[in-house]
Amino acid sequence: MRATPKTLACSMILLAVLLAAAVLVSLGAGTVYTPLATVWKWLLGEPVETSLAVILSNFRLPRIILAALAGASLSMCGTAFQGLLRNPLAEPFILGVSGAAAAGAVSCYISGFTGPEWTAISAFAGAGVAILMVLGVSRRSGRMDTTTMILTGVMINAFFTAVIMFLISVADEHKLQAIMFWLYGDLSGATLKQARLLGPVVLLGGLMLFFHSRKLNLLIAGEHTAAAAGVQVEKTKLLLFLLASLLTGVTVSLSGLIGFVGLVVPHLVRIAFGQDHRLQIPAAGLFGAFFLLIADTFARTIIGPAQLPVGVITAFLGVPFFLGLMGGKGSHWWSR
Amino acid sequence: MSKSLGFWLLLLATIQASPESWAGQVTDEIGRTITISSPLKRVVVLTPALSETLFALGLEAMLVGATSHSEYPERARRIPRVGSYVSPSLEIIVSLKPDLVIADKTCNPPSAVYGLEAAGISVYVTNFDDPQRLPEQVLRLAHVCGATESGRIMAEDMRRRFGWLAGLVRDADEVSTLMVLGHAPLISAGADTLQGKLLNLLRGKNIAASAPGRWPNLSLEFVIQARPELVVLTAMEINADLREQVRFWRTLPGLGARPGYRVEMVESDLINRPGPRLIIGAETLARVLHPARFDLEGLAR
Repeated sequence: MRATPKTLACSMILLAVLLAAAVLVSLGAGTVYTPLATVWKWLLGEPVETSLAVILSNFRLPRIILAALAGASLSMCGTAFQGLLRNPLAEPFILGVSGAAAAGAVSCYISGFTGPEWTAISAFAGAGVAILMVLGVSRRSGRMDTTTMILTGVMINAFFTAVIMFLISVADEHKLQAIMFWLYGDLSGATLKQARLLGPVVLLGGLMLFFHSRKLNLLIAGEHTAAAAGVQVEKTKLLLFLLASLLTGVTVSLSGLIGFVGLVVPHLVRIAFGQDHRLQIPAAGLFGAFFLLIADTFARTIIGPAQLPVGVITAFLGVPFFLGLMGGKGSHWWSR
Repeated sequence: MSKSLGFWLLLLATIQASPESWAGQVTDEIGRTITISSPLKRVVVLTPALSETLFALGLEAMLVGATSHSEYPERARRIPRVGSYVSPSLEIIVSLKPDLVIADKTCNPPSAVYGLEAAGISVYVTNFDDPQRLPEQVLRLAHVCGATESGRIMAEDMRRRFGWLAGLVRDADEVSTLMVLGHAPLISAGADTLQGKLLNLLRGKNIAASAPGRWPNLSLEFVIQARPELVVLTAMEINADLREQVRFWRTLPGLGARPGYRVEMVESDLINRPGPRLIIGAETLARVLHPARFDLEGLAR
């Protein structure tokens, strides 16, 4: 599909409606039965039963907002990584960037800086280190073939998992529960404060990615082509990698390790909207929000009153998807 | 000994709970100030021990929610469940419209307390991790719930019996002990835990006290080197094969053959639940630690 203002507007409206419907359904779903009519009344500001209003505004809404923001962030990162490395299997979790961000957040938390701003900054630093490792390996060719990329990701993940396990072994008991949170993507502790931290990052980061989407299109065609078309290749790549690691870092610091969203969503978006990043980036944002919100709604209702970490659901969906792509044609889309 | 406990449990259970009416601000055991609306009608408790405590205080009528494994006394099974104490469902708790939620610092995640607080629900947090401070904390909790009198009786009884036990074992030789809370992996209780403090109070020398962490994961090497005289199994694992565990510890190379080495079992709920039955657990543990003291005591009677 060509990205004209009209197709862009139409697809965004379509996806926004889809997301709004998901928000409505998710508000109604939970261990305490809430009819959709009640949710609707509550949304319109009409009085509903006090305890239901508390459940909706204190527990469900913050979690829904955080899930949507995290989904949008991870999906846009996945799209950016796939374009930058010219490999359709690239994704923050698979590349080890998420794991490195989690290690950053955990080490910050253990050192006593427990505020969300500190863990977010430290997670960003961790993600940055992992990105440098990825860049170091991919430097020679510019693009990354699947084998190299996956092996690099496995190694980066192994290293940072070891860092986290080390930190867990020396952590005191009180902090352990909080640390475990980062290992399984878990949105159960979502608060509006977290959403207020992640919201602007996702919005600004997403807009920046969107404004660079034409350059991303050119980069995929090859770095020489892009340079010939006037793109400052190195500068653009560095900026986009930094943006993607910022988004990954802040998201992981607030939601833990949620894998495969950045893999599944960009692929589905590509099937529906084609290769143009001017469409792909915003579409991945909205559809990613929808996707993780639905996954998290399952996570908090499927074994109620207990809850699953949402990372479990995304892995159940993502791993078969990944293997299917590996075995099928998917991983060769950009091979020449 | 446990007869007297049974007596007042029965006594309190038969007294129709008529909570005194009072309202105002109280400070809980972790220093938070909360407002209590009174008289309390609907209370949710977030640990099995707190459920037992409210039953023992004769307050079962106000219990509208409890966590899983709140199965003592038998009637506690009928209280609606609000999830587990590790991850209680805040949605269910709020939907029960409680006047007060009682949580415990050691057992419940802080996020649950603050989540409920943000939802406008009063949460009283206890810190039941010290057997010697349990009576005063129970008394304060009883007061908050409007059952000061039964709280006083219960606290007094606990205090008297803990005192009696401590006196009985005061000059006994310390018994080097390994407390097994989890068999595989081997989890024991550090010095700063309810079980560790109980052991210390009863002149058991906790070999896990020197290990790092509250719930240290011990290696067998460490255990064999520490040469405990007594291994107390209180496995918390569900469906644990205790007989297999006893055999393992009795025949453990390096320990099993030592003269005087003993392996004993103590019912997990008696030792691991800081509530009205903890004193029975303490008595059982003291008997296991210093059997000779109890023989003499029996003769003296």
